[in-house]
Amino acid sequence: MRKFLVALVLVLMLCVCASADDGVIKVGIFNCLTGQNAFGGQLELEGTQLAHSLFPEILGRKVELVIVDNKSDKVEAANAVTRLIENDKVNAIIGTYGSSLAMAGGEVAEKAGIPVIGTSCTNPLVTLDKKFYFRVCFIDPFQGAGAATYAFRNLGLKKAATLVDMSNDYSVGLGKFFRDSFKKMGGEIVASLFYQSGDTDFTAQLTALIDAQPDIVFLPAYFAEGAIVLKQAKELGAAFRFIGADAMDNPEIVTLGGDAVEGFMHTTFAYDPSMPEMNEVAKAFTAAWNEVHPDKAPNVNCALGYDCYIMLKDAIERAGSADPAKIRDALEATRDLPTVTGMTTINATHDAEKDMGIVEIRGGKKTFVGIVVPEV
Amino acid sequence: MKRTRNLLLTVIAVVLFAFFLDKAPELLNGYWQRILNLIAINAILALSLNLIYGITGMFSLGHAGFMAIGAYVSALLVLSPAQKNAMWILEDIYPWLLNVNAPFIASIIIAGIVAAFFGLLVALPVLRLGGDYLGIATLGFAEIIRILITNTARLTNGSLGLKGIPAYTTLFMSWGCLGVVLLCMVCMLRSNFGGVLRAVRDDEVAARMMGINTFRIKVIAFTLGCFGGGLGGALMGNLITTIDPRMFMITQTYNILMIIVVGGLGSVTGSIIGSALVTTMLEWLRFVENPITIGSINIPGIPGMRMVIFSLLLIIVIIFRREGIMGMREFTWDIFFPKPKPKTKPGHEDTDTVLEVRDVVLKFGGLSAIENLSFDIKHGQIMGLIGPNGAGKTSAFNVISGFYKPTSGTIKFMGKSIGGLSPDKVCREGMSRTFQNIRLFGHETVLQNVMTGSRIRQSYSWWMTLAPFVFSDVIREDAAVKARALDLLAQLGLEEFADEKASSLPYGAQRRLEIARALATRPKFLLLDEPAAGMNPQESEELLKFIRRLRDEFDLTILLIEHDMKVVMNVCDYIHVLDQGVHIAQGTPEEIKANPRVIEAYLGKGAA
Repeated sequence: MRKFLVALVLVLMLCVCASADDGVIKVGIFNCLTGQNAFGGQLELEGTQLAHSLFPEILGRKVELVIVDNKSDKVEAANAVTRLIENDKVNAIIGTYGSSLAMAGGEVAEKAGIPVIGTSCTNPLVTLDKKFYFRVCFIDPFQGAGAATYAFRNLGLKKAATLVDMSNDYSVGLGKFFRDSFKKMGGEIVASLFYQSGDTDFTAQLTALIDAQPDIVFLPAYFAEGAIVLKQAKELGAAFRFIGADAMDNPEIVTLGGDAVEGFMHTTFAYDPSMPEMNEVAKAFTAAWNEVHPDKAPNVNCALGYDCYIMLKDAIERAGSADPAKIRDALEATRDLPTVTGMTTINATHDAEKDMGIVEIRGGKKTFVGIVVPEV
Repeated sequence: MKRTRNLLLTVIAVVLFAFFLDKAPELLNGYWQRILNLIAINAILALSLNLIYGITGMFSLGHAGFMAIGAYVSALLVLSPAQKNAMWILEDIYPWLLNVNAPFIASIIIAGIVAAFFGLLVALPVLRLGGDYLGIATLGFAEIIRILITNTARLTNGSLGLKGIPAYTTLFMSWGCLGVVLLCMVCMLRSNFGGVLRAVRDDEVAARMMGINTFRIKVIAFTLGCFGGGLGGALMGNLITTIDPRMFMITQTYNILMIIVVGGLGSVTGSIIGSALVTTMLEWLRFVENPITIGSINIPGIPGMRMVIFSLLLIIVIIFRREGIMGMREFTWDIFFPKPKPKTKPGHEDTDTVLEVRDVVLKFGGLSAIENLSFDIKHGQIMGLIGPNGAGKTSAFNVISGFYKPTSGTIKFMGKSIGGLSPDKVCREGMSRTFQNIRLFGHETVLQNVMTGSRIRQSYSWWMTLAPFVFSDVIREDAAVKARALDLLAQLGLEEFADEKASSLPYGAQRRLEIARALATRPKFLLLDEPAAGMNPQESEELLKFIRRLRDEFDLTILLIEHDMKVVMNVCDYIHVLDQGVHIAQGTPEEIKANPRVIEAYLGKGAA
């Protein structure tokens, strides 16, 4: 028995050591493949892997993806990035879903001087004062303002309320930026209510909202709670509409939400399989995705994962080198790069400036209703 | 000689390790340095939780809460005003907080103290509970802390958390902190105070009878453990440089709990081995999530696989080594050397006493266990208390020794009223007892059991044990107590068992050990609850002699409960008889034998 165990361990160790050759560009991916954020992390990984399968070589050199899980845990996220840099000697890193995880990993990459492209970490603090952290997504203030702009300008609604997850940084941030922007445009915030992640009964908050009679309620929730809120609102006969943000962008929303999600809107990146006019990159992405995953539609997380790879590929090609410092400089100079989620430009704070899309559930289908330019 | 040798070896080991840490940046890549750092921090956390749970026996699930307090206090102290200004984007930071600043070392100590303060606040009401209730209460507390942090945005930046905390936790810092924690903890656990902590875990009732204020001991241990939690949290925050409330969920506590269970509950060595093992295994196992090629077989990587394998390993550990890797044992250099035998020194006694019980009534609701019990015991007497099952004998013992408060009546011990005093206070007055069902500190050695009994006769304070080399009283008094304990063991014929676990002793020896432990508190009055229970006629015969010898050698007054009539009639000077709580007779053994009421009580009506 003991001999068998020793042999087993030796074999396993050999397997670990049996990789390393020259000329390969190594791209590390750290994302939440398990834990509470695994849903988003998995989709983003699949997006990146799709892009890698389409473009397995950059500058004529083979690209290898090194994937590590961060378990949706900060300590693990920092460990994962350290491992990618120190053990696997990656040239650049892609990740992650969840801003707090990106922050923990970002400190490590910053010190080591390895560029990172964030997939959907939308908190402004992620790239604040960071030389090496970039992101392919826009940030919370931008999105909060986008939802407010759409509600106020496009829909002409004057009275709004927010229902925010107090224990979630993303939700709290978006809620604040929505209120600020809505008030600035001349609208009125009639109620501002809270819940905690994991809550399952929202009757108290919904009753208060019904009393306050808003035209629209901004719900920057994750899907787990958001779906229940919508369901209970329908049961209570709420007259107002809901608008959510990109965390509510979920391919399952219609099957899971049924009747209750009809008329629900959410801001998102300017990509949805239902979009009428796709750019070339988005078309290529959609076609490739449908071929590999015929049984599920792509969402924005898949698109963002894909875009990270596209952005990295573009930067390496412009730099003409896979040297981390040169990749960083090239990433900083990204201008009007066509990506699945629209034209991407990296601004001074390393955030992507791009159009914002609005999706509405109409007739039991996710429908892309248009693009909005937020008034921040 | 042995001490010098071990000290020398320890110093050499520490110096070598420090040298290794100094060279670590060149020898190890950043990844392994990070893991080394995490090992030290996890070890600090594990040691502190082990002090609470493994050593003092309080099932606490609140460690993540204390970590959170530590991490936030330290982070708020080391962040610069400019960083704070940039971070509080939702609500403004309190102006006073903006400019609060402290150097890193001070910040982690303050973090520990604040966590300890909260620990004390929690301990005072909550430690009245025990077992599972304590677990639930502390779990609730940790959740309260987390929600408070989420909702006091002006103080903590709410759910956005703090970022950009300077990475002050270097290898020297984390291992240095671990070194200090380890040194203090080992010193404390090796002192007699450490024995008291373990005694409280093994048998709280017996510990109280040894004169130990168990509540106070538990509060001290809990508060010290919380200090460690705060310290570990602070180091963790400064290692990963960003914290938020979601980091400190119950899973964080489970991780630490897992380390101490794997390492061995109650073992300091185990906590360190456990944290090294768990931390490295979790990282090392990452390879199972990558695609693996064995020969021509390709196994695709499965995310989460390493947690599956890790959990399997945990289950295997728990099945095959339920007590964890180290159990309750500790590492010592002695394992490399054969062990020599210690020597003994004599001690001394003094007494002068009377117990006076007047009209004592004890009622449980409507049921009266004792009705109007009155008797006196004179100095040097051996008094018997007999009666059929359920007569109220043990209840009488419990009232006298302070476990029950008499419903009415007075009990005077050496002229001082002790009715209603708690057992530990009664013990301090000079009374000690044994139990009908033996209550030893089963996991401790025979010697340690006896030494625990001497704790109340020591003068040093618990905090001195953290640095015994500064407070030499600790070492001196412990040495004296040890000598006396060995002496007691010799007198009771137990010296050969000194280093064995108390629970491994034969039954008769356990009974004698319980008496030895009682004697270690230097009593003037001894209560023996059925000392002959479970003994054969020959053993009871020896017991007779032994009880007389006890009285003479230790100048004691003895009250004993016994069913074995032969023992009672032969050893007692005077006997009181209880039946269903009523004091039905008293007299010399001859008078009792002839008393019809006694015969009736034992054998039923008609027999007389």
